[in-house]
Amino acid sequence: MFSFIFITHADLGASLVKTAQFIMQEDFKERCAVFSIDYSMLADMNRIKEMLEKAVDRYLGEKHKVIIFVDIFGGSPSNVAFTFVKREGVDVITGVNLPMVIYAFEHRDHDLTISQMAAGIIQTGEDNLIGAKKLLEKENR
Amino acid sequence: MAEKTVTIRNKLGLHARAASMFVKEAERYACEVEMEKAGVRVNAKSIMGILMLAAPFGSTLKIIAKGPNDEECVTALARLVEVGFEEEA
Repeated sequence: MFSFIFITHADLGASLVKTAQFIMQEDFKERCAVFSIDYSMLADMNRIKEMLEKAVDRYLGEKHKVIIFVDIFGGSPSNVAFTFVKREGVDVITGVNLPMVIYAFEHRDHDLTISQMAAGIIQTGEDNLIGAKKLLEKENR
Repeated sequence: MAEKTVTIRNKLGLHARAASMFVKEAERYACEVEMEKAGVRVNAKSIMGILMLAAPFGSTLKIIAKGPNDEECVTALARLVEVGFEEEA
């Protein structure tokens, strides 16, 4: 079983969860912890780390594996999230987009290792980066 | 194994919410379900898989099921497509 933590600038994470729930017509609140990082919080990275730690510990305590979704690699949320990467059963994925979130939610109860889940999420994200002109050129070739 | 070719009848095509409905129906069956369009075959128990087919109004695709109750599964899924996911035609 998997649970998910979203740590993003402003409300991106909350919006991604809300939108995935809208499409899938299901409620994933129990399996998600969402942290929206605003300017006031950026000044206190320790506080953010503590909040994340609490969420990670709770899910690991429930024997869930944990994927931490981050928006931008190298941003403050990502720097904090990366400090958890050595924890057993935890992985961090940056550049989160909606297809990745839907894939993750769909596979939340599948019998996957943390690296299988991470690989599936990243593949889905990449598969959905499509430039329309390039796609048409390929199809017309 | 059971299979059936269907035509997308709702105006919006096989969009995200429709794909989600399709997966919910498919999940009711234990069999494996795939969908194929123009030589591309995807896992039809995955919203993101189905969306990769980018199937618009009027396109035809094949539903393929293999395993327990595959006939029943294909019939139910084909019906869902044929009624246009109960959306406006």
